[in-house]
Amino acid sequence: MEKPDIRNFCIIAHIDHGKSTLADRLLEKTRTIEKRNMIKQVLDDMDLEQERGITIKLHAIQMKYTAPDKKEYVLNLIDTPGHVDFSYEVSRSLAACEGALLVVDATQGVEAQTIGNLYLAIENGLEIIPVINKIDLQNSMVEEVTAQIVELLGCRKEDIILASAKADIGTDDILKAIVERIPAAKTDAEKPLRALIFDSKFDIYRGVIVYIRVFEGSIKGGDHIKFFFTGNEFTAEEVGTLKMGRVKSKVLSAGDVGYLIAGIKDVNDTRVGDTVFRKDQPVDEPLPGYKEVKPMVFSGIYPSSTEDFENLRESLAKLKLNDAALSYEPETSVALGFGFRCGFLGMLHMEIVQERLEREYGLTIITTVPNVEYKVYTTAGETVLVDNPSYMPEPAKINYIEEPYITANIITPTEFIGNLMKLANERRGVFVSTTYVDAKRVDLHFEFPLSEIVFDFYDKLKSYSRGYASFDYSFKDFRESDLVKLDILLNGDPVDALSTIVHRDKAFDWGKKLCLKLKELIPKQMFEVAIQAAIGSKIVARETISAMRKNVTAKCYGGDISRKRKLLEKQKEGKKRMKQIGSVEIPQEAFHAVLSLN
Amino acid sequence: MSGLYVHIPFCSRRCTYCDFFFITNQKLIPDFLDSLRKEIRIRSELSSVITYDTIFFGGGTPSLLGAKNVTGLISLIRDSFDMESNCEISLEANPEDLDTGFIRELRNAGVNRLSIGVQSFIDDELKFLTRQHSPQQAEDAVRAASEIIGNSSVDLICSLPSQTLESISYSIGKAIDCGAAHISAYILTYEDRTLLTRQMKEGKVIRNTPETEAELYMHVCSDIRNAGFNHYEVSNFALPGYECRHNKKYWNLDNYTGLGPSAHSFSGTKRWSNVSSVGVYGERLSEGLLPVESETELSPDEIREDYIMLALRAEGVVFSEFTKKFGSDFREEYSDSIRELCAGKFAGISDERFTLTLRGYIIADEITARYF
Repeated sequence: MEKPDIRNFCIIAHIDHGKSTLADRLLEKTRTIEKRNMIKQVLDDMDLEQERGITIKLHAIQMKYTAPDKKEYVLNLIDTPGHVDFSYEVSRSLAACEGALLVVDATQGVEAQTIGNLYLAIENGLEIIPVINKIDLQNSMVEEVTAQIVELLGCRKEDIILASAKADIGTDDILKAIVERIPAAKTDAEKPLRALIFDSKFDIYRGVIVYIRVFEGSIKGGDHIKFFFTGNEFTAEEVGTLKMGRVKSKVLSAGDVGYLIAGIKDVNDTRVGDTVFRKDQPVDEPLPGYKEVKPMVFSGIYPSSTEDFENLRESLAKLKLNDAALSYEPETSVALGFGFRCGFLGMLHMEIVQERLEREYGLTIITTVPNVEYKVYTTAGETVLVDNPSYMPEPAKINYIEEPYITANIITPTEFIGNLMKLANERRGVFVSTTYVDAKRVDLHFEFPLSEIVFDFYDKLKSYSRGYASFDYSFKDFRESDLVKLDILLNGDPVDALSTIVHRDKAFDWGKKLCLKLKELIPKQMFEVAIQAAIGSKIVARETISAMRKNVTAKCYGGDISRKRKLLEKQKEGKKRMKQIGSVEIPQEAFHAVLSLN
Repeated sequence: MSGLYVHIPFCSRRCTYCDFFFITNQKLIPDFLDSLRKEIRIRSELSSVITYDTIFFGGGTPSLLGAKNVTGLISLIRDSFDMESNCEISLEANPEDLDTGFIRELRNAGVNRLSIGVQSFIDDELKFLTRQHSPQQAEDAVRAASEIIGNSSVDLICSLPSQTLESISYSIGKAIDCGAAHISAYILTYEDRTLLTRQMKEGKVIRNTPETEAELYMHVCSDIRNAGFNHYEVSNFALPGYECRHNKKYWNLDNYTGLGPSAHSFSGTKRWSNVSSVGVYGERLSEGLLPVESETELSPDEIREDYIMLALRAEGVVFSEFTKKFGSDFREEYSDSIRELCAGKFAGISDERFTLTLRGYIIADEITARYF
């Protein structure tokens, strides 16, 4: 039987521009799924993904499409994560495709992630099919958005498909364009096997399920295989394609997208971007683009009550099975006891992990203020990586410190340029350049210290631009900065979990704000509590929480002791959620105080 | 020795700050008394081995029953239960009910302690509390009760929005002057579902700050203590020998049996309470059933927590008693918190007991929650 024509493609879009709805429509049109079985946005099958409306983990699905000329095609839709934290994963799933649908919201126009993702797609040599979505909405600006896309892609106006995924407008045109404009996948099955790992997930029954795109050669059950970068060897147990579930097949050959099961126990053995080849047919060259992902943002995660430590360890281990980008190391805090220093790709990744620990694993956790990783050059000539402020060497031993910088592009209507320049200035941003997207909107390029966008930058960006600006970033390099460690003392005792690293120019102001915020968050205690901020031994700010004046129920009602008891039990519950540091009880929110400072 | 509590769920009207269970339809009194008599009969058949040395008529407003009913109830109780001969019999009364004739009849019925709901001797404060009596009525009632019965207790409310140090001192002085041997001074509580709390939420009543509440409470305590009263519980003061024996049972974890709707009982390891609805109470008894609504068996830990909580609100944890009850040494077990609380002058320790100071009393909930 002749191998059918295959089209491997993905959909790229800024968040909320309708990527998932369009995917739903394509699945419906190709009868991959019946309408009545349709859960809204089937590709986002994790609860959290549905709620946040972002596809966190990528998936792939195969469709059969009969073109108007009655010819049948196999279409593999490879879904991509929609957030900047996962841009490496996005780039790998793009690498598995020959083409991309670039979806732009007709009411919003081109946004930062439209451009960010588009550049990744162009880097990977993909054929781009521009789609303007939501054209049926009253406030759509089809003409303006068309002009933006023409400007951005250098394409013709006629190349752009006008659609509404929600109202099923343009879906047929899109399917037609996919087979007409995206190059067919090469089906060279004679060469030695080279397949790209673009994702993996852990399944408790089968071990790791590896998602692959076969570029050359073929793979079948029983093959002895090897991964190029990790050097791990396995025997393929099963291969198959991805429909609404896994469909076992004899072989996957060049051009195919599918899954591989090989008795792999740990997702860390299957790095995204790695190349699979056959042991008996070694290849000289891996597929291009492999990178090791490194965590960028770190935070301490502690169990709220110490007896949950083992529970937390197990839960993190389980999460890690499905999340190779998550890292964790045990650490101890004087204030919080035993916990873990966890590394994340970015803020969203961090929030997801925290939420899953609480929701899926039922843990109550305390997370410390997130920070980035610093390179500290000591006077002794060593370089120390510091991912926890409390491990910062003493000032006298530091020669200089480097911090990570990112390059950012912010797309905004021109009227907010002034505001955003101000925001950039507050966040130690370095202005690089401006490009006009069209007459009303600009793409501002900046470089920022990563630490400055870790705290509430996104919210600030939105409030400085009335919600209009969008933002995308990628890691740039490490640069020297004048940084100091700011400690917080409660009644004279330093609270390690509240230490932060800040730029020297900001230290006084931060210290003051932090003390005030803590005063708000820490309830009155039996004793007066002094809150101090210090750089080394120098106190830079102080606030005082006066002692509690009254906490007594006047009356123990005529023998109704249980009423009183309930009251105290409630009070006790409240205390459980606090951490005792010296004689001071601190509520968990206090460990986040820095996040809500500005 | 056990205590007997009798709940009389009638008031002539509702005061804005009160969330106790009662009804204002006094036509129901005869039916209620029938039910109460049935409960007394069933209980007495169940608990022949218990001896009681206190009876406490609480409410509600027990004085609304009138002398004849009170007399009848006391003699029924005496006939039904094993009573100590020098039994303490307390009755809660409103000043407007207490003329000298009535007080004499109560005395003749055996009532030897009157707890009078005075709340304040100042007209504006009484009006704020929507009380029915005048300062003069209050004064007359306390004087008469002190003379005739010889043991009267005055309830006062502290930290009313308009109250000043002078005005509360005036009320305290009046109570003592009229011969009160016991004073209960409660900080005004804003209970859920009361008119007062709604008024506060609507901004019509401005609640004192915790600082002011604390200041007024401290002032009240020192005023009453200075008059020679023993401060034997957070809100209770008595001249030596006039402590309320019945209330001390609650605080010492002694046994007590509650009769009447919503009354609470305790027997060593078990707490139970009656249904609150007077209607349901009557129905259950007419079927020959006890009107118990819920029953809880306390775990040893819970008993211990209750003991500490109640003891710290009252005259302190007595070490020998604690060891006898729970088999461990309080001083060893809680050495850290004892040290911390003593250092902060929230508590004091003697060879015999560990007691909260005034400074400790005012944050007693904060302190006792530590032992839970």
